[in-house]
Amino acid sequence: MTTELELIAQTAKQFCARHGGASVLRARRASQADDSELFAACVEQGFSGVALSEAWGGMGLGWQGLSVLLVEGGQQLLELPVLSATQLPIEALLACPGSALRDELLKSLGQGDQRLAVAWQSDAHHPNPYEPSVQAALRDGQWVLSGVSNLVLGAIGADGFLVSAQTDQGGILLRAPRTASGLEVHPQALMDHRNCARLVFSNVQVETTQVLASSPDTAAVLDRLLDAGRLGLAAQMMGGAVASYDQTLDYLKTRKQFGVVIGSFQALQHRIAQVFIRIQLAQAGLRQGVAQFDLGGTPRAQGAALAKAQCGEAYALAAKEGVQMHGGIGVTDEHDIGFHLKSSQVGNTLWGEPASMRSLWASLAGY
Amino acid sequence: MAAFRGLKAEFAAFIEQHAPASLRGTRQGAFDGFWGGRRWDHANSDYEIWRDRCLSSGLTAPTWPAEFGGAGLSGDAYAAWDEALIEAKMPPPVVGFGLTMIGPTLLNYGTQAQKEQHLPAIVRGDLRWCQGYSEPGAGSDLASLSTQAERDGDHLLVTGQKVWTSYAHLSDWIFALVRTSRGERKQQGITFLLIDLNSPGVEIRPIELISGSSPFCEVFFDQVRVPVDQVVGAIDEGWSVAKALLGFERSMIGAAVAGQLKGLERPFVDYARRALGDDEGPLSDPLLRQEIAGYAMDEACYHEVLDRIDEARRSGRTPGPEASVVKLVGTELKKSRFDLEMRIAGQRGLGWAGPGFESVELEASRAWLRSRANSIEGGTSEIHMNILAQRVLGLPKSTS
Repeated sequence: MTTELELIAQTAKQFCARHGGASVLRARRASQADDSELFAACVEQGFSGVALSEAWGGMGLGWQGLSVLLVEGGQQLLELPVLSATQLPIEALLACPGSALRDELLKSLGQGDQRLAVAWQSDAHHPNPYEPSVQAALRDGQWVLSGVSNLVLGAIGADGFLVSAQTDQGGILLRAPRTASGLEVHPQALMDHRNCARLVFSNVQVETTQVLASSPDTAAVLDRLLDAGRLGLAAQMMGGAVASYDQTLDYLKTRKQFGVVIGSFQALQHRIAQVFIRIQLAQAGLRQGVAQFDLGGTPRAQGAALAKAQCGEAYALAAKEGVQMHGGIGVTDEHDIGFHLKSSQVGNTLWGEPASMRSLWASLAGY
Repeated sequence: MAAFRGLKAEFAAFIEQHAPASLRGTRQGAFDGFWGGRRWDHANSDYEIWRDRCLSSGLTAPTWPAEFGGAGLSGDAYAAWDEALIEAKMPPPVVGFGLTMIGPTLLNYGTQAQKEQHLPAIVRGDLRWCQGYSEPGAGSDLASLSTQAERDGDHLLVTGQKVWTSYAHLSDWIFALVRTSRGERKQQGITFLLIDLNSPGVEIRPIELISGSSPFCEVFFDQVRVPVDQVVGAIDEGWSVAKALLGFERSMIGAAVAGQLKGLERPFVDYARRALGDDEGPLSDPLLRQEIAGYAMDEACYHEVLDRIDEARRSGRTPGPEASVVKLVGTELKKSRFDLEMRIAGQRGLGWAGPGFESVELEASRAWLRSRANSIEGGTSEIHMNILAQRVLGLPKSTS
């Protein structure tokens, strides 16, 4: 690791330990507070520009840097807004054709001057990201948006949205300000309490100058968004997997039944060993996904699919086995392991569960 | 890295100059090649020519000291030699348990006389070695072994039985664990002994496996006389030597398995296309498609872990906790590799002999059967999970 990466790893660890943890999540759940203070704290640390290249005013550490941050966050049950509110919009913009608007947004996102959220999913059971459920029509020289965008991560507190919409000429991506008339942001409570909202567009008027990409360029934008989103979730899930494993291992070493610590039972030793093995493999998958993303080009999709499938399965296993090995306390709200079970379900389901990642991998490999 | 490439180019030139034509491109794995010993079949004398040409440069035992016939190469230089061999698809000049197991053990624990007696013969491949560890009553619980060795002057008299001794019927010497006394703990009183299989009182019987082949044997000892100077370490204190050798065995199995689990996705897909009659596009069996992709993903992660460990070792760092899962992951992955092959083969994978099946199909079925032993030999997966849980994860010794 270079010194810059070591530094970011150290900073991230301290930051997430200070701002995260189950008690913070519980407090946020009770108060329904937004994450604007957390976002400001991230910006202060320079986290919003970690991955962005220096040419755009970022730190230039790529996903190697960002993933370290996201893993630490996942470990502390801390959803860092820099993924959904900064990096995903950045990735979308980097895949858009050059324009003054794009350049301006990239710079301000990297500086943390604003936060955007990408609105691109329908409310289908298994949304096809290439088929948004927001319709856009050109009327009197303006785009008029109608429809719904579901599960928009990072929407609460966003200054604006990158909206993926359908026109009769194919897809389009445009920027809509938070304050646009006819746009409603309905907070959505997910089981893991991450920042999320449902957007309802009722004849929202958007200037044509706000168009960032239109068909056929939108396909590349969505591809890149998916790859980045999957990789980001994979990193978060890796952190969560490690935390679930750590907590469970601790419990096995302290909980006594039949006069001995339960970790002395071979049945449980083998189960926790399996979790450990899956995590070691998943870490390898994440390292590969990150390296391939930073290299660029087509291997990005395959690396992201690998990372998401492996980290997702490791997290689901660690959380489910964790709950089971904790016994009764594991299914109470009082205990923290349940947060990981919920988070693993959300992370695994969004943007492709492991089985569809394997299908994608097969398609990319030509079979 | 530039030095590594330079060295590798030198080795490649050496191979280009010295490799006999009949052996080029024949390499299948780290354990295909000249096993040597008195029972070697000498069917292709090029193996011995290749051995002789490497021997003069110490390259049959590349990392061993020159004093015993090695080339004294560093780990990094050895990796360059190995990669050059793999690229030329050349078998190593000598292979076997002498080089991978008893040799390194003697280098660490042997007396000067033992090293001088045994190492040069291993380097030349003159004598072939086998491993006498497991017994009918001591499998996973190895330390409960009971083959007796009684002191008789300057000899030990060995009586008992070993089992699962790979290739004993083709070997000349055996390194064996014998019981010389009973202490408070079963690990006490075990002695590590080198025994010439030509000694009177030794009997070897091959065991037929479910695959029909017999790499394993039973070895019986009846009052076999072994000079006490063939004890490695001290009498009664062989357990630590035994465990050190298990470490060498694990890295050997790891290396052998890794080579067999690389780049299999494409062949699987090609095979599946033939089996399903699919020309192009997604495979028509969506579950099989998932299984191949799942295997390929695990394979990719497994090799990333291996590369990371190699890199750590080369740069003098201790590998991380990922090193402790390599044997487990490798053997389980190897079993799933053959399961997948059988899954694709379908009814053409059911043949045992005779017409109606191609020879590759017959070989594949037997390889599948053989692979079931992969997670049993060299320590069962369950024993490795015990070790992982207790030594790496720090859980207490299992009570039930």
